[in-house]
Amino acid sequence: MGRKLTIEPITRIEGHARVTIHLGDDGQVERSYMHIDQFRGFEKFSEGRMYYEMPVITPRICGICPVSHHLASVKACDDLVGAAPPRPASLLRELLHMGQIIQSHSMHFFYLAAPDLLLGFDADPAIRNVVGIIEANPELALKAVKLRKYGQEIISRLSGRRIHMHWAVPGGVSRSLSQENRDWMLGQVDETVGHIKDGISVIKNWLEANQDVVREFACFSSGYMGMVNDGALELYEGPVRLIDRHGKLLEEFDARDYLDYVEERVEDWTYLKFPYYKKLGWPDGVYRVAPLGRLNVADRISTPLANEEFGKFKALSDGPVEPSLYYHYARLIEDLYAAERTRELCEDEDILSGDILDTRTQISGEGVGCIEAPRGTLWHHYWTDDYGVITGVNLIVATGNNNWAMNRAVSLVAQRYVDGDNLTEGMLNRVEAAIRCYDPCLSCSTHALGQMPLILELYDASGDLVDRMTRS
Amino acid sequence: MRVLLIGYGNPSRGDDGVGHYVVKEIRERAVRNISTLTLCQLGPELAETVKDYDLVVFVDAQVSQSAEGLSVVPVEAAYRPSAFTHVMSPASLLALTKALYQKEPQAFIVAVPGYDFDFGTGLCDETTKWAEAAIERILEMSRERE
Repeated sequence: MGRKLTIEPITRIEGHARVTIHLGDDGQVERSYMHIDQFRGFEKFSEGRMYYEMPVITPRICGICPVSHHLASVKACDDLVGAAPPRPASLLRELLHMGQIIQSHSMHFFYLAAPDLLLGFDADPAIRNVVGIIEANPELALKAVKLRKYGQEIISRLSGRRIHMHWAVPGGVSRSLSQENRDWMLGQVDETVGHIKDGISVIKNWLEANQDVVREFACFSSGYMGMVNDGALELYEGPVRLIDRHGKLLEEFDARDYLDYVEERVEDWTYLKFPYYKKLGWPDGVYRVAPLGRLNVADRISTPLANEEFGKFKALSDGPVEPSLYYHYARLIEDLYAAERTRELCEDEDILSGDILDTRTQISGEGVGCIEAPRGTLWHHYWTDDYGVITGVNLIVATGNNNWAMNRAVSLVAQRYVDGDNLTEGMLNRVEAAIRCYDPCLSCSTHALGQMPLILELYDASGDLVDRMTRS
Repeated sequence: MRVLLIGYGNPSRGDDGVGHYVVKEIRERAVRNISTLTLCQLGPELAETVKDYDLVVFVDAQVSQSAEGLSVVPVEAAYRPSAFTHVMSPASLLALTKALYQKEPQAFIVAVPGYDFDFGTGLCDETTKWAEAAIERILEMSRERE
């Protein structure tokens, strides 16, 4: 008799998810799904608000990536009112974004991913967490705290708040950077770069020592998508590049034209939609985003240390790098880029300028903003009436772009590791770890309130609940 | 004794902003030995700050429908994997501080009853009343430790 396993919610990700694993009569996994059961409706309840409220409203989508929403939103507003931010304002916005990348990527690797990697997928869940990491490697844990704090401080010193800032405004930013704060940021960069390089050593050593796991753990082909700037990795402003599963260029398009290239599929078992490349259709047009996607589409990285590491990453494969576990390596390479880019931005002669706002307001009725959030490509698209009142909103959120990939990863890992007749916590943790490779933010992707205990349910072929496990 | 007062919660969700309110009121009284922080949520980076204090007081709204009055409870270092990974409980934050820095400040949670968590700033009358009681209790705790 077939059975169904449910893991709900998944731990050490941002938001609330449930995984169901359907077992056949032989106890083997037949199929698996990652369900997102939350719904918030930001697209709908933003209607009727003034466009300039959106950079304040939309960061409330999430407490972990408010900066990304803040910036994507304000870029959409720039477009909407025809106000191109002066160069210093764009530099400052990018600097805020680098702070976000550093705190988010560092937090993910050291706190969320490292327990699985350094302590083992089968380690006792009671110690398979950040405290276990501290006991195993206290120096590494201290560096993690410093990295997270550095990123948060950049955000706070620029915008006045660590989350939910009211700083970027249509046409620029509302406050310039003081020399004191610039000097503080510069003063911490070398140490930050060193800490990230230490993290890179950790993940590289692990990946090299566990190649057998890497190759059988959610390793699959797909298209890839990410922003580039003259072919280089770009996180703030540039065209979006799509490549196919062999690495061949499919498109490089203006982010504002995304609707010509990206379409979303709806399934009745999840609130999270499935974006795909429109011209190839579903499912041929599926792609991956975020660090692995971005590094796979890029030709180079514009900062020296990250580019050196990028060369090693590219040497891993003749085509795109496919194993999901390489997301962790790619994430830290981006982290390194963000730290180096922070230095470049702080040393730019315009960074302390007071020329930070273009006050033009010529409402066109439509605006699109795009940014590479830590978790992938993020679009905000607004429509307004002639007065700037929002009449429509479309958000394609970073995590949503990886929805197919996370489901694929869950399915492959469940098939490889889950034995319905001999269920262990380690098996279930592997399924969660497959999702964690993608560092999903499900609060964002469903635009979610909610708690996140973990429940695993086992159903037989007739749909009757056989067993249930819960963690919180 | 160095005292750190952390008021946290979402000030855009009505009574959830009571931690911010309490901190603001105490800041205005400029109590010599109390340092203050207002946050939307607790994160792991706070461990580096918390380690430098002898007493940490967390102020938050108490959501429970059965909340009866002001609750002041000691909090011990105890790590529990967080459901929301980007936030930590006071107990987990203290556990992190202890593990990282071998520092274990005395800590209390001052939980103020909240009744209205709808969108908007400002506290309802009942929560404001309990917030005033919280302020007095925190000042008393500080005086006791001077």
